[in-house]
Amino acid sequence: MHQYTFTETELGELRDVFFVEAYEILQILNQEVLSLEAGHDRVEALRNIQRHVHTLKGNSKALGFTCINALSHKAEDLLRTLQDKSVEIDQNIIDLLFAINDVLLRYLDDYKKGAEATLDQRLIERMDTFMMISGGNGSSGHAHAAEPEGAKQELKSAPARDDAGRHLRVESQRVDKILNLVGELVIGRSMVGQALSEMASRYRKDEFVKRLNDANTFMEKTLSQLQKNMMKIRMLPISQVFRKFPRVVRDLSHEKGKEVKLVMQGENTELDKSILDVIGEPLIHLVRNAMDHGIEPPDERERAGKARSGTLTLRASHEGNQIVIDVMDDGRGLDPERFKKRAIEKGVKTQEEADRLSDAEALDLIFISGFSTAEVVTDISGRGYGMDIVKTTVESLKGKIHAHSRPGEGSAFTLRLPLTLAIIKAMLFKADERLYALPLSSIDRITRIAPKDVQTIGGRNVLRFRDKVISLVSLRETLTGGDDRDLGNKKKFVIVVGLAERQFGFIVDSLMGQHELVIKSLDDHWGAATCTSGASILGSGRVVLILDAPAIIAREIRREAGRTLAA
Amino acid sequence: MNKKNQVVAFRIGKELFGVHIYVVQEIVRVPEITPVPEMPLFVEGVINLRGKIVSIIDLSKRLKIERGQKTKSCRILIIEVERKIVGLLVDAVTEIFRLPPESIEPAPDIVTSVGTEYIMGVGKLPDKLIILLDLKNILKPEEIRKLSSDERPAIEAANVPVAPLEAAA
Repeated sequence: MHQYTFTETELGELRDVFFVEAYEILQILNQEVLSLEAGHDRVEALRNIQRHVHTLKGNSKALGFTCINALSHKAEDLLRTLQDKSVEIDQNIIDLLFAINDVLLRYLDDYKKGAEATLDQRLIERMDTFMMISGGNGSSGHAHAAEPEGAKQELKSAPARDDAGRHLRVESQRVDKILNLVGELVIGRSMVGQALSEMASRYRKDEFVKRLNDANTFMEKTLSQLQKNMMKIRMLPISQVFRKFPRVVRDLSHEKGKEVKLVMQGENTELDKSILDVIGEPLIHLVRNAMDHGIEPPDERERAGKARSGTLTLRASHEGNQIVIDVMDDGRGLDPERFKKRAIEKGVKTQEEADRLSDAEALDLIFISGFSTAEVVTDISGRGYGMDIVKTTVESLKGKIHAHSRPGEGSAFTLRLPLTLAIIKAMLFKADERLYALPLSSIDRITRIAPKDVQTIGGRNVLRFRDKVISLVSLRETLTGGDDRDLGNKKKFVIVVGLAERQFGFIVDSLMGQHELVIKSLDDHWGAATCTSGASILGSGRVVLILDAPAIIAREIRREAGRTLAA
Repeated sequence: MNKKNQVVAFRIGKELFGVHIYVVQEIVRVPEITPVPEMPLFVEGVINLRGKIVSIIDLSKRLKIERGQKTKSCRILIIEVERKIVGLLVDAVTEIFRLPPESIEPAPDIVTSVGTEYIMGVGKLPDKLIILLDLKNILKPEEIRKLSSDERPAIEAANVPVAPLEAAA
């Protein structure tokens, strides 16, 4: 037989496909083991597990991933012993199956990085021991060779290929390219719209203008449909992230000695791939946090008159142009008073400041770096990845997160994220003769001010608003280095944005309304523009800079600190 | 006409400069330029070039030579260097002409207003001299980083004492 050798590129492509499939297979294995543990149809679950392990074995062999090949081979032997119904499926074997899955995952990560993996001998021994006890055949080479040919054929087909006829696997970059072009068209649309309205006012009665207008309306309609459908291509169901959680919750409840029921709702809610890729980590942290600090141990729950087993709910839904994800538990809840006390202890707040905080504001203290109310920092929740990073991550996605709680009844974290990052809703405004935009997601509220409303505390302008102090930021001073403390005599607007527990107000001259902006990145060849997150082109052809509120505030705080140091 | 030896000549202040025509994509009138904060002073801002956002560099500031008033004759040369598209703001584009290689001389020792590292050579024409710029070198990020801190807007200087965020919060 002629031996075909793959070229480097072909091999690379094969590897890519292998990894995508292999990660999927491990996810499915996880689910199947979970259903085995839950006591669902044993035969069905085992058959699925076996089939996928077999696929993994074959594919890994072809690409020379020896460790994956060897371990899945061994796993097949182990699974064969389980086919015997007299072998009881106990916690031991479930744990072993999970362990195999974890080690396979580790190998995958290693191989993907281009590193070599080494076979986990302890795991192999564990498997051998199990098979000895269950009377299985430890050395299986022969049994395997004797497998009937037909069975092999049947085993080869994995479900990833089942619906090959209906699905396309396309490189995401290709989709991005088209999406970019659609973005350009959106800009083109507003340019045509602008020109048309000027034309209409000039030649009001011309029949031709009307025809052009009709054509334009038709084009606009089609374009927005095109845009919507293009976005949809990049949309993936959140179940891709959610399906990690049954395993996480199971492991954690074992570890913590807690009984937890996981409820997942709205798994089919779709969101943009770029968001999906990053949202997993923060969600896992929230789940861990709830398991660790929220849900009480069974005995404590019983004493409080609750069911021994706690419920953790993950819920996703669409709300207008946003996706809302709730992570809820029915545990002991968060105590705003305790948060305030702790903030004072940590020196984050003075007594007076703490007293002024509303309950909701007190709960938001949890997102401050280094703020954790757990008496003992545990291995799970206290591991570097804190609530502050959860918040930063959500904000980097132009989203928001809030904590709610009823002491004794439970707590909930609500994430609100945009459906996509390519097009944002933004408020356009003028400050210092220049046009800027701020994403609506970072705006808390907008108010009007007159010069007399502004007070000066410690050399900086502040605004008192419902017994809260808002530090005023002059964009001219911050962005262009000009010195401008003078607000003039005119009435102005203040756009209030929040960062951590502080509020800042950007002084702006006039508001230009809300717009949908297609984000374009700025050249960073000559210096990093940290205060802007990009630019966009308006229908008039003007370029507008999109400001990055958190970055501007961080900069403002640094300047403030610099002044204090200098003083 | 053969593009090979053609040079686009432009004026900044009183001096005449030239760049090879193959780096110039187009020459446009100066549209509205949107300033970008935090950029070095010689970056005027960005423009919308048919839906693309292009950075504009003021060559006079970059080369530290005096330029004339902003007038209607000001132009932007859209150039491509190292696969990057950039606009150069100049006082006027005067002409495009052929400059045979034999009439180009290496950067002279005579004093020019521009550092020799930015000059590819000097073109000798019957009635004038034209300084051929080495755009690759002028626009190199390393070269730009070499610029002293006073080339940056004052804001950067005010930023120096960096205290941890928490301290202020």
